[in-house]
Amino acid sequence: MDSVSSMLFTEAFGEFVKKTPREGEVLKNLPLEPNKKLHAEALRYMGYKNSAAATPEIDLLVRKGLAEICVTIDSRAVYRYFSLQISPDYFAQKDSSRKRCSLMLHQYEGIILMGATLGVSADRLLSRVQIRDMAYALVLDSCATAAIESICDDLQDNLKAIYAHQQRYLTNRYSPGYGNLALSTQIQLLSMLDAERKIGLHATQNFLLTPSKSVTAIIGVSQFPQKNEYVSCDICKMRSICHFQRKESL
Amino acid sequence: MINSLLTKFTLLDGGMGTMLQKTNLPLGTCPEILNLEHPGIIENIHREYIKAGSEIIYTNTFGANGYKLSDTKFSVAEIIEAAVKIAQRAVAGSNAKVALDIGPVGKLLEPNGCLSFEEAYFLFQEQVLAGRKAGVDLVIIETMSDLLEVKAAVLATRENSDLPIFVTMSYGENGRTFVGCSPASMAITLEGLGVTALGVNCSLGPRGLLPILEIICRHTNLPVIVKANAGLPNLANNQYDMLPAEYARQLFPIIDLGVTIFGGCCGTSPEYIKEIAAVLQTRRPVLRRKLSFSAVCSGGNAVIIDRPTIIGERINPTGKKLFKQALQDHNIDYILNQGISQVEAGARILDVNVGLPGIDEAAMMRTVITRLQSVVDAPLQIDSTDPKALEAGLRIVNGKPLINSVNGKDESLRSVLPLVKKYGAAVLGLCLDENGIPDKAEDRVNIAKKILQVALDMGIKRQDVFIDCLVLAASVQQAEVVETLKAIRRIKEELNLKTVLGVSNISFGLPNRELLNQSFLTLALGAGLDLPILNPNIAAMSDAVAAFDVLLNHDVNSASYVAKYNTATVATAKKTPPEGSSNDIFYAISHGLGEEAAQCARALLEKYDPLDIVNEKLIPALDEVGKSFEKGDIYLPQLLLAATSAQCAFAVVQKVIVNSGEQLTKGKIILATVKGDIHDIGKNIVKVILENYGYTIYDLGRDVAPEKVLAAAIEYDVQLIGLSALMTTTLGGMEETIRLVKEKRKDTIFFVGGAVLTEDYAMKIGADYYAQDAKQSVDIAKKVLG
Repeated sequence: MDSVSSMLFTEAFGEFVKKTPREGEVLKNLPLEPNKKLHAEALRYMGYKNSAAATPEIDLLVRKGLAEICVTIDSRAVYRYFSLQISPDYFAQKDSSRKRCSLMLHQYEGIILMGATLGVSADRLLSRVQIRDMAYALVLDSCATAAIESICDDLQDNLKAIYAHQQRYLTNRYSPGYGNLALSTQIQLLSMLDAERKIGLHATQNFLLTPSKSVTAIIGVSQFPQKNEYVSCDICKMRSICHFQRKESL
Repeated sequence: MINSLLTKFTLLDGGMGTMLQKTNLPLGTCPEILNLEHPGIIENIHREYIKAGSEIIYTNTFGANGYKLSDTKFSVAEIIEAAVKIAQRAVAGSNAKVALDIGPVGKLLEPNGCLSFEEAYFLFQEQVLAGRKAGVDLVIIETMSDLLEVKAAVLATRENSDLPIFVTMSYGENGRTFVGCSPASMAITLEGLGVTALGVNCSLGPRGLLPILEIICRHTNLPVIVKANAGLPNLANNQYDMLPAEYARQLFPIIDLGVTIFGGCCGTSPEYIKEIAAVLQTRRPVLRRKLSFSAVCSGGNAVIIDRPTIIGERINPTGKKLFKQALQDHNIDYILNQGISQVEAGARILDVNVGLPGIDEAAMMRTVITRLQSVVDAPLQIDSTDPKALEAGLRIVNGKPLINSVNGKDESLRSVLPLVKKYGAAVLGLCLDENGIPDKAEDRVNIAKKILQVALDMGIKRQDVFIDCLVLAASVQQAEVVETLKAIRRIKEELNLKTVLGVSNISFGLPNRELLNQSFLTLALGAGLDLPILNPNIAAMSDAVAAFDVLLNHDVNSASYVAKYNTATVATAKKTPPEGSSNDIFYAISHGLGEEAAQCARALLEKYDPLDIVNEKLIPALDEVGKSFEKGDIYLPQLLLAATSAQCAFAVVQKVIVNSGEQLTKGKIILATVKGDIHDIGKNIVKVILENYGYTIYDLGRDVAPEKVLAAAIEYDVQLIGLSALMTTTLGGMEETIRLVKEKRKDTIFFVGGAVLTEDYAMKIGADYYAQDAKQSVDIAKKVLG
């Protein structure tokens, strides 16, 4: 997905999404176990350029952190499919961005909205540990971030498999706040997912998600295979100051 | 009303959302607007439910609060007035009653989110006032997840109307709400707060809710409500697929529990209500056994007082210099740490006393309780001699607290007991009155009787009155020690009340205090003491309670005892520094060895001045580690490990400095995460590092309003302020804070940091320094403060 399609999705909320979802699901206690990938991701969030740079003490803390996160979290996720309905008038528009948009629009027949959270219990653990031991708190915080991302990856893989049966192809997930998908989209996205009631996920007035270890995202659904599944750092507004850029885009 | 709800069945309505979906109205719009735009649709739904047998219908006002309606052009009063009118038209000619439906605000309450208790209260108050004016018959607070939010809604209703209150919360299969509220805590707390009926709605089908209802019925004498979903939603069509007959069939075991109020939630329709009505025709309400037990609870943890229960006494400044300093410096983390370590050591209830001359005790009580209940799950004992501070704590506390304390003086009874009643707390009654503490057991029992009688007259339950027979030092009044024990025995036997005792006073002025304390504790437990107030971190005390639990068969199969003392199972994986390095504080700090660093500090104190240790040992070690971090040789977790070890050494040195009456500070710094932002780990990292360098930190926490930063800068007379913000949406708060403070205090110097900040942006919003990381914060502090 690129910035044009993210713009599309920003507009899509207003104009194109058929507001009655076709299907969806609420998932609870999503499987999560400490593994090498989680370990490496947690280290990456702490600023390690590669896992080998971590000392044995830190590795030990990460193992402890992942184990504690896995037993503490109360994870839940919800997703819903919405079909896109574009009025013919839209294509009649002449301005160029819309034209580009409309090219993209042909690709997507619908979108999946998703939300996932580790729940309030993770936040409680993080606040408690921050009072006792900041070093471990930092490790735990990174483990929790790795955990919620991993849960989203798994959910996305499952969806990909489900939709593959219907010869449908998914884009990567795309979250409010990245690229030009406004953070304020959060509110509408949560409301369309009924996320407050379904999984206890809210946003503050400044569009921060609460519980804090949570993710919302949009996934495009297309009849055509998606080449551009990889989210490039190039499209991101934060790229000039971000410490987590992937090597490929540096 | 309660009695009739217990002895006859009451039928509520079914899903409103489900019925609205059938009308094919678009999802995402505020369904409450339909009250104004399509009143006929709503009225028809109500009528169908009444026809099916509903005796109470919910107005279409679930989300009609000031926050959720803020994006619409309608006011809360307009929407509610219209909704009530519709419902009243629908019930005309029937016996059905109209309930004002109140759902959650839609934002998480502090500390999980940014919504303050008072803001929530005002939002609910607006709804209640509109509902009362429009003439509803009762208020139903439903689909709630946070017990504290429920409390705000209940207080808003009770303080603004005389309407009966029904409350239902939503539980998952794990027996918890989204924010971790347990069914027992809900039942205990809400009965105390004086609601009319309570129960569950949404999330699961009737069978799924059965275990939760079982727990609720074991913890309340109030009528219980169930409004389940029609099973779980079907993935393929997003519809609920349990049929009405099956739904009604699944209610049988729930009726057997003694539940008497029924309805339906998501996926249910008038068909379901009709089926339930038919089932209820064939059954009679099952009368539940009257329960009588003493309990307190937090939102997630109910403590039933059926065995010795330790109340941790450490959150109290009396006689503690560091604690007093922490209160003066607004060092809330220090206080929270006391709470966490006591719970880890076995305290099941925490006493909270934050009274100190010169501080705003009520404000401090609110702050400490709010923060404390976000990190520990133990119920709290609110401890103050100031009724204002008591009430401040009572409003904000989640769950059912214990109040410390009331005594036999008329003035105390008059000022404290109404608070106990209003907030549904338990209370600790001290056996003293205008004449002081009586010597004889007889007279102490008489004071207990007086306290009990006044409490009962006010409608407080007997099981919520706990008596403290009071301990006098054996060194002063040796003959009276036995009177305390006698009084405990008599209060247990004659009044059947729970007893409390602050044990460690007994040994005041005598050597080997621990021995006396432990021995006296054992005697008191033998006499029937239920709630010893003590320091659980002292092993001798918690050990005595553990042993007592085994000997009195409370600890079945000695399971807890074995788990605690079977040291063979406890792995001792202590890090041992390589030989020859154990005396090197530099090595201990740079390798993250906290205990060793503390040991080194102790050894160094024998030879060196405490301040020299800080300046010549601790800070150079940290500087060295900081340099490695800057060079990229080590990463942030290692920097923090070093900082935490230095903290251990620092604590040792600081104690000596504080006890000698000196001050150790290189300067004062305020830290805050700005208004609207709740991500504060970055600020906390900076704090730990700066503290290690000997700076006094005033940590204002997160989501801090600009005015609060200004007030703190004035109060503590601070020149250097650090602000953090994570999101672009909260940078505005940062700019505003800098502007406001600099306007009033020109010389203030700001350093700012956070993921989305850049040096340029920092300068643009008027900051003096941009700190990319914790290390740079130290460099800035050194530059500004020296």
